Amino acid sequence: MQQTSIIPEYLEIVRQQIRWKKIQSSLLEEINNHINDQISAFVDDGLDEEEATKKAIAEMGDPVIVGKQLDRTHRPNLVGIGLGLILILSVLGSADMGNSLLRIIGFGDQIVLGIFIPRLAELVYLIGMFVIESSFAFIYAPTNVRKAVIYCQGFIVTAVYLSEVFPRLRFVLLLVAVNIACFLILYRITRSIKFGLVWTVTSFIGLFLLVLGTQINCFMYNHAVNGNFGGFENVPKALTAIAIMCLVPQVFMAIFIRGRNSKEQIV
Amino acid sequence: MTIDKSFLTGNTTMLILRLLDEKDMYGYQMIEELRKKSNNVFELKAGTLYPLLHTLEKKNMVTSYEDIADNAKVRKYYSITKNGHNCLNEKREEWKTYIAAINEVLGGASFATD
Repeated sequence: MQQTSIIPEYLEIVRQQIRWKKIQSSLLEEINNHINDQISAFVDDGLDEEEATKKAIAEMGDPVIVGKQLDRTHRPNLVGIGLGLILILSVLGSADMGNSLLRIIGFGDQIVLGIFIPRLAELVYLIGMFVIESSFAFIYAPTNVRKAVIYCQGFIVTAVYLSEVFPRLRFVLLLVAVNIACFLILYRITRSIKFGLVWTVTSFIGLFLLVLGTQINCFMYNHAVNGNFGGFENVPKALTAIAIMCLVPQVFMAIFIRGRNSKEQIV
Repeated sequence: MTIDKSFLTGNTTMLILRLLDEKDMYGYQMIEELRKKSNNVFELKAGTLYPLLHTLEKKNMVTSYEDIADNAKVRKYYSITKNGHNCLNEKREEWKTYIAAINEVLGGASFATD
């Protein structure tokens, strides 16, 4: 049984060299797999298990050097973290950044170069937010979803601005934002578009039932009060709204992620 | 024949990208493939390969994903990106120029193909 402890020992030494805790387990798993592949190859060549293990470990090289080299490639980006903190502090420091900025650059209220821009202060603020969120996404989001995250943030910021300008849109856009967030969280955890799409369909059905329930309620109310069943005119509007909020962003994201990584299974 | 391998290390990136250009592979597979293709001349160590792969991933030249290999184990596969592809082409051109120059200096028959 002695030889079986060689691998954990080796991995432990590698692990000690890697300072970024978050990344340790995935790196060690990859190395562990590699050692096991090497062992099976040696066993196929006719070595016994113990010898194969020893030889495979020797092939890997000094665990301290291996660990140090991995540590060097996976250092948390301190410059990035610092930059992110400065950006966040600068926003928190002036809650009405939009207004202050407008005053500093000397533009009149809501009119820029003769063009009327509704809610200009909010717009400037949101652009600031977008820059900050994007820089965070750029630093922390994994490479394969980074762009998708940034696009989504752009989408959300646009949505918030539109909802400022058109208050009626607010509810719909809020749900879109929630949907996108759920999709990305599910994708991040499961690494599969499938679950994100399952969420999409589930929320679509949920909201559809909500519309249906509301409509039935309306019928009953109208029947009791007016003696007729009332009209259907709000149903298409509601259905369009939920279709937009459930389907469009997710389908875009799914296509985007699949475009980046063609191996991604959609279903 | 013994070959001074230190002169080759700078080009390991090119070799890795070339391997991934054919198909997606996991780390162990790359080492094996490289050994086979080079008639046992290039014996890449895992300790060199993984840091290099992870650096390439950070530079967005390769991406990785988990998939089930032939023996039903989950493996981290690497796949070349458009960026990596461009880099490979660049390095390949550099390499050709380099080899042609060496051959010129050596003055023998030119081994630089196409």
